[in-house]
Amino acid sequence: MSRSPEHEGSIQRGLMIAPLIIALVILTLVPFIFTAATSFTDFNLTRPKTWGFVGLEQYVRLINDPRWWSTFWRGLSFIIIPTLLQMAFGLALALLLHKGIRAVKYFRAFFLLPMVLPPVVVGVIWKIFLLRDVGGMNAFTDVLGLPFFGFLESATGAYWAIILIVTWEWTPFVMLFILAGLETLPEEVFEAARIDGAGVLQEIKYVTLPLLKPTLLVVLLFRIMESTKIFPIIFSVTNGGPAQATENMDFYAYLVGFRFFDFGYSSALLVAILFVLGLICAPLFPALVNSGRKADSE
Amino acid sequence: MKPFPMKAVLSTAAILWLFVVALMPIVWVILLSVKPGSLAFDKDAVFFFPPTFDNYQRLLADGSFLHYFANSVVVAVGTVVLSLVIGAPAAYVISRSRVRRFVMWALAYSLFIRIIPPVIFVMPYFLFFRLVGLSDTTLGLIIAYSNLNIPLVMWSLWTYFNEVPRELDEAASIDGAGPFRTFISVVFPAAAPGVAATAVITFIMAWNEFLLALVLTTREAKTLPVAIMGFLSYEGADWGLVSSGATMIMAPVVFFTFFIQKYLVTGLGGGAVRG
Repeated sequence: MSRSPEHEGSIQRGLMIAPLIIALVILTLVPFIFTAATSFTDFNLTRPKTWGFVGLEQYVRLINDPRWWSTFWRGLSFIIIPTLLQMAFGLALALLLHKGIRAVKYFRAFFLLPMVLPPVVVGVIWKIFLLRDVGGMNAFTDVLGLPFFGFLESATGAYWAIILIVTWEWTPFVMLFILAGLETLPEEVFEAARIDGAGVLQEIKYVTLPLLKPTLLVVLLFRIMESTKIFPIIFSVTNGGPAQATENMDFYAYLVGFRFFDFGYSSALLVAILFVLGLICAPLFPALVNSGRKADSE
Repeated sequence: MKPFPMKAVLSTAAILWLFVVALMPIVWVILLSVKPGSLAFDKDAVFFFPPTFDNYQRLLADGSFLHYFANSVVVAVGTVVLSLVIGAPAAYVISRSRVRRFVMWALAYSLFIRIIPPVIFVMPYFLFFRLVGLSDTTLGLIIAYSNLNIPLVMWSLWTYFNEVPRELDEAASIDGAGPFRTFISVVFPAAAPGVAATAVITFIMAWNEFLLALVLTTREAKTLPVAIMGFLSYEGADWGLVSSGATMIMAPVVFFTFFIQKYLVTGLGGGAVRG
């Protein structure tokens, strides 16, 4: 019996997607289940032979752990503050540059550099830049007659240094994304607004921003989603210090796992982080999938 | 009467300011890497001096930095190949699928992997890799990185494959080609520029990755981002050495960025906006 081409085709399609499913199961699902399971044990890498299930003990520990709560609130602030700053600066710059000068196209690669460089290198660059002895910051504040501000020498300074660096890293991306969105807006609407006598600010408020809303939403979602990934910056610039002042949730989970080797508790922290991220991202998910589908149907 | 070109002045100022702010720390480190030792600690900004390559000579002297450089290349190229081999056919099937729910699930999975911090994977991978002998190997890193990059590749290629007209598929199918044949000889070549851009973005992602490399490698398979952190961990780091190392890690990324700048914003934005 010969198989129909139709049937043959669906077998081929299945084979083309099978490696993805296998990778998904082995490399994503199994590790997740493993981590969730480990969070109910007291597994510690320093004594891997003796471990047992401890029920919810690690979670009780988490609720009573002041260091977790401080990393939790700081982690949230590391998501919210840099994202808002990037959106504000990115939008302002994009509105200024839109149709202003064509040169922005030629500079694009330069503006992309902060976000494509390895985050660890971004951290190292900024660490050097902010240092007292070899840093450029000192030279500039000196020229301007300002006192040198030791970003890396105090807890507050280090906290804001992280925010400054992340904002520096991603503002150009937000700007370019919004610029790309601005270019797709229909020219006629602006002409109509101008004929009706709208000033620049009115035009921005009543025409540009409403039309730009979908773009703004997408870029905001992307930035929120990825703003949790600042581990390399923290690691390279401050290493969580001074005195735990720049630890976020991931960093703490890493410390517990790989400096204290307390895998059980680290797993509980990871599950908690996933839960937090889930709460943040759940309302964003449908909007993003919709934007993807719109890109599909266009 | 011509109005005062307020907007042109403002936007020129903005672009110059942005240019300086975006590039200054990068330029500073590159300058520091070729600064003679006597000038490095000068507290005035010095931009003109006879460059010296002493730092680079010291950096490359014992060959370990080149070893890590080679590791980084192997891992990044391997990740590109594996992610494309697994992600591209799947992206094609999804882009031609009429089952909406299936497409939604694939996109949701892509997003999910993109959102979760990689720290979640670190511990299970660390234990599994020890179990199967993959710890401190470049192959282990390639596998781990591919898992993080396949969703990105899939999403990005999905949008590029969508742009290839379905009539091409139908023509191929009338000629008797199955889906795999159609994909390999018709759709994949037709989307070649998009595929190339996706490959380069994946290369950069793998080249830049830090956390998994930090935990999953110890000596042999160390990549550059981990190696440069090693320079920092000593008391009173040798900033000349660090800055020359940082410059060398940046070099390939900067080079690629100039080639694919057009695709980068689109690629990282998940195809939602064309750059």
